[in-house]
Amino acid sequence: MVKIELQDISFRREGIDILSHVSLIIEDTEYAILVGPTGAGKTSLIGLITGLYKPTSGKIFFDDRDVTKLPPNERHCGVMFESYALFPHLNVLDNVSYARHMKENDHGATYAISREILSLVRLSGRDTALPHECSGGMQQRVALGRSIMALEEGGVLILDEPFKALDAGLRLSLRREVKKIAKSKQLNLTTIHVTNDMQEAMMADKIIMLDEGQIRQIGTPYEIMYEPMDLFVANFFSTELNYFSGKIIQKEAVEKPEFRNKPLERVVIETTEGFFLYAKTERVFNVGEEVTFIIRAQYCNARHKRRSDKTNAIVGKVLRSKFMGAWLRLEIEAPFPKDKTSRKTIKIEVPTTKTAIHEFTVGETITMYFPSEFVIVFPRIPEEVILSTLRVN
Amino acid sequence: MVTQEHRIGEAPIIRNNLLLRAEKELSKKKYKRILEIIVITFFALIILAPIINIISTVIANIGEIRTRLFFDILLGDSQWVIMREALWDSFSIAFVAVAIDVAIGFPIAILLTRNEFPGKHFIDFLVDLPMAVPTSALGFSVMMFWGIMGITPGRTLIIFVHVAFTYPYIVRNLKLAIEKVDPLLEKAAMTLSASKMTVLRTISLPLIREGLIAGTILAFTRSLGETGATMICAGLVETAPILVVGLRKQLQLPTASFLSLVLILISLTLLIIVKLIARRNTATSKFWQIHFEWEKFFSKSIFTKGTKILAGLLMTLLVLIPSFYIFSEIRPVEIGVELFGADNKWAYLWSAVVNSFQIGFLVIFIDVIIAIPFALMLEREKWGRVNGILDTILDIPLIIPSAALGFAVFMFWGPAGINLAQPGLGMIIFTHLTFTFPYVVRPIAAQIKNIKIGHEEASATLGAAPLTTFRRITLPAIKNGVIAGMIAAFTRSLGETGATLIVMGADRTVPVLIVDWVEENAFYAAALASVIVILISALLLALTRVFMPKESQRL
Amino acid sequence: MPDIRLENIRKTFDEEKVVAVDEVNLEINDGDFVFLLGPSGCGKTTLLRMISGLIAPSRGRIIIDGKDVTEDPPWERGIAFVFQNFNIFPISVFENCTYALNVQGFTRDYIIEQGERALKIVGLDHRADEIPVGWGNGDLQRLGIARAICSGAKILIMDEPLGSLDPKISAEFRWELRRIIKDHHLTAIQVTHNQEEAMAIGDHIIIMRDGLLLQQDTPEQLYKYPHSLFVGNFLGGLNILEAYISHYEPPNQYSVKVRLGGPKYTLQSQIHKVKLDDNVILACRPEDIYLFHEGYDFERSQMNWEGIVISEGHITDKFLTGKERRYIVELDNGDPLQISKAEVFKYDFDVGDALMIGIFPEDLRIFPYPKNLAKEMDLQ
Repeated sequence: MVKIELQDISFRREGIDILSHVSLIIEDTEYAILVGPTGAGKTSLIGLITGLYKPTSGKIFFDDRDVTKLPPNERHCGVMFESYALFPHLNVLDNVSYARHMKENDHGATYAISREILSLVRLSGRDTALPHECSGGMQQRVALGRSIMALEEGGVLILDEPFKALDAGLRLSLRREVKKIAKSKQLNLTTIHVTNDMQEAMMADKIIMLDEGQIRQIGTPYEIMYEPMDLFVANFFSTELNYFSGKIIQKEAVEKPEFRNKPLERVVIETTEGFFLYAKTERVFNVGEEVTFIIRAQYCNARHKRRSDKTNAIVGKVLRSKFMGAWLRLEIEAPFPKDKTSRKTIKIEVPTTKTAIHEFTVGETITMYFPSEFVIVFPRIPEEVILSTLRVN
Repeated sequence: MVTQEHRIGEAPIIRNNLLLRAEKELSKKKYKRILEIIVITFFALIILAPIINIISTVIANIGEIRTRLFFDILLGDSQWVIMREALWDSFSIAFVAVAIDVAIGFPIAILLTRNEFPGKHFIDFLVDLPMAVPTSALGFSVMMFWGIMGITPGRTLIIFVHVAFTYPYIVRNLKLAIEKVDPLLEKAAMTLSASKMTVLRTISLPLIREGLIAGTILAFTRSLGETGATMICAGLVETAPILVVGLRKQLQLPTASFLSLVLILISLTLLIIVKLIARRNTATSKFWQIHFEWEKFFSKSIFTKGTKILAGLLMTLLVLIPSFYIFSEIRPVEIGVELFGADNKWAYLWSAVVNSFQIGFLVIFIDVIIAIPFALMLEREKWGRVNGILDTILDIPLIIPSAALGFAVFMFWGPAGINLAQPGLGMIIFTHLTFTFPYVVRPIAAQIKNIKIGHEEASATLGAAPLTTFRRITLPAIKNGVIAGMIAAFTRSLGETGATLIVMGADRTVPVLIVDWVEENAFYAAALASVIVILISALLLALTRVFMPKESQRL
Repeated sequence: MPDIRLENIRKTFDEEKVVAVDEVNLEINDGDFVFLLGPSGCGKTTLLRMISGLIAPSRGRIIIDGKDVTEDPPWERGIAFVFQNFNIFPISVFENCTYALNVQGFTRDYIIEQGERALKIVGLDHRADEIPVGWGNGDLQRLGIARAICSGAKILIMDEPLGSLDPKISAEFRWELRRIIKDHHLTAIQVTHNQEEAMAIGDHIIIMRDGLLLQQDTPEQLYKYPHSLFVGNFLGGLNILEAYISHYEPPNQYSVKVRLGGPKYTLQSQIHKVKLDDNVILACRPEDIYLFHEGYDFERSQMNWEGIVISEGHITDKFLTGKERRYIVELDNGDPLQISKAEVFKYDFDVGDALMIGIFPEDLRIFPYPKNLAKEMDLQ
């Protein structure tokens, strides 16, 4: 149960700036997720919090106590490493007990607490097993138990990409279990969870997005998804997106914002291709302003025929169709209203349930609908910047 | 694959490439077998044959040996007594030297593996250097240094020499053992509130334990077998290897055979023990709670840094300065007198240098041709147990006292054996082949280990026959290992003293010349010879590190 | 044109102690993009390596394009391989790309022509002379693919080619991969443990477990008609309800009652070997469960709700996945269900809300109750 604060932290190593001017606060008992692509500096940031590295400049506070100069063995951070780092020469019970063993003379009491923790992580009865005799999922639980033991008197739980090596099914179930344990009344831990997987990041109370050593955005999952600060964040938190450039030609205030409890404006955008689309946005734009906006592929509906009372629609022909399970992915070619010989390719995914009609055939002309609250608008971004941000690498 | 037929009527797209076709043909299994047989035969001849020969010689002459040792008409069992004392001396000296070395080597090993600081590579180089230096030159320098401190040739001086000479081995092996432990484990322990000393005791030491023991035993064996430097510093003391040289000089061949065999067997036993230890799974550790607060106290920077500084000072005083002291004994005038005086020592020195170089070059070229396929076989072939056995046998020349192995080589190739060589340059070459072979193989094998097998698989799936893959992928990848191996082998050959003393004729190599001159009291000439050879070795060692920056050599 | 056939393939290690591939018979048609999908250790990578010739089978035959290639080494099979860790050689991009043509002895002109073409396809033509050091994983794999295509092989084998990429990158790159394969009419076999990937870009999926093939079909067929709970759950997750057969009308009409006071569903099923009162599992997809707030007017809706079976419950958990919203609902009889709703779904609920859930019987599948439910659902 600790509040963590980083003030203007910079970290330089071997001449390279790994972190620049990072400031953030993680509140007491918050489940924070640190997310970003590989190489963003996440592991270094964690190293600074645990004390394994020393910052080049800046300060770190635990509960208003300056810990910047404190060595790792005095900071009380329970770390779960990606490779688990279980001590191979100690059995499960001794691994879990490690943090207390050398401080307490009473081994009996220590072991009793360890056994409680083992049952908390669902590993009772495996006390004497050695790490190499345990499966991946089991090793993970031992690592979790070991870090919880270190936090018995309060501290920070740090998870450094611990689910990476596991199969998908186990990943999904274990990470929810870990969050439940961290948030349980018994423990009530402050947690920092590191990942490069945006879907995993969505289970956070607070998301901290890092890229190339700098903070891109901090916010709740809702804020990150619907109010991304820039195209980079928006793209990272999408599986696929479509982007358009255009100009604001009209705007009005929205009376009762039914979606997000913020003052919204409804804008009409004329795109460079000639489409007219609506968006509901909290950003303030002026009429005539150049903008870039994105539409995520899953935030679309599709119908065989156009329904006249619906707005925000584009008509096009199905180029490709692929069944993906719960979703059907379509690539639609829409002719420019301004120039019928040119086409824009739009990617959408529609659910394959009964309520969404999902029998679309290649070559068929369909209508795509984009709910205006899911259109995200930014001030105009130059084409090269868009391409380099979106380029898959 | 695309074939010519797909493009009928257009320009030809396949060239008639002789090299590729030859590689495809020679990649066939039958040629591989032939190569394997040649390589294994060479290997057996230069390492195993002499040893087996010694065993059979001793067995054949066991009657005579018994008599000579125990029931000699004139001497009674004094021969045996001398032999026993020599063995005891060798053991006790080795024990003391290794103990001192571990004490001052361990903190330095930790420093070099876990810490980063400017000048680290230079310190690493300095620590390694005494190993590259020819033992007789080293012995001479150490003798001169402690001589001005008032320590004359005898047991004490021998111990000092062994401390200096064994030190790099200990540190190297300790480094290897420490490197095997994942530093993340130590970091994890720190986050779990363990202070540095606690981490050392509860995590690092239990995990290093086996490597520590193995490395210490190996260094012990080396010290046991040291000849060249010991001869210079021994005075009247006779260690076991010195005794072998002496017996050979007196042409008491059966007795010399016996002692050589004893030394060989002891070394082999220790080697096998080391290999078995290294393969064992780390045992579990009981948890002993000692004084946590004390450990925290001693983890303070002043203690951890202080220990390392102290070790560094002792290392400089006991190892580095004595090893290079000889540089300060260069007196141009006296050297001129000794070299260009009556017996024209300069000519001897020059011809010795030429000999050493000629032998060195010839030996490494023969070595490399066999070493590359051998290293490939060692690392890539899946023969199960046989790989392990080959690996162990490969290390024999590193372990066995050079005098003993030199004697075995002498008995096998010389007049007493198959008589293919006379004492002299020819036999020296055979001896050096035996000693240098592991030095070429190991770096190449280490590089092969580093090659991702995926690269070779990728090459195969892209249509390359195995020989083509070897030429285009493997060879460029191991090139640095080959060069490093050749340099290491050359350095070893340059410094070889003990065995060369046994098999030489009239011609001299530089290390042997140093021994001669010390015995004649021509100290300044010996000093010059030592300095020359130390400089060359230092240069070669620096070159090796350029080609193999990641020091993954063992011993 | 190549097709691939595996007959009675078996692979064991350590003198039959470790069975990596138990008994596999397989046919892959020309031009097909096939996925070998399964949990770690199921034998899919071993199988793949046998097809390419990097490992020899303990038993069985491999036939490519009518020719028995079981004894042929990899360099004679005409199969290009793309690796998870790329295995790019420390030579220039162009030399990497044209390696295969080089070692097969093609003319210089031909090599240049093919090399430039392949690099252009993956978008690396402007970096042809660079040495690929310090490159991002995406570009390294593009080079790996260019190298495979340039070889002229008609069969492409890929061992988790996207496995080393960040999840975000891998989700986008997969479409590029599919496009390249389809444009070249290659026959492709890809190994993955990521079911989303297989479902997204595969033409056919082969599900493996413990060295055996469980089911082989198109994504649509596998998703809608899994033969076992394991397959169904592996591909996208299943909700399970413990139930029993309460009524049976031949030939295939079943009434199934959910335990602990749950609802009754009447549906058709091809299931066999079950009789009255047998325990069964009813399974349905998270997206096939419908949510209604209290007082929802079914009559007024434009959707045809006829036949839907309604139960009541309340929300116990809710989370976003980035693609959709997920609700955990606890039914009044205690059964938990996980429900997924697209973001564009009109209504939102909060934890604690009481509501109604509806399932169409035809969206349910009946499975016999497995001996080890936890193992079948792959939980550990």
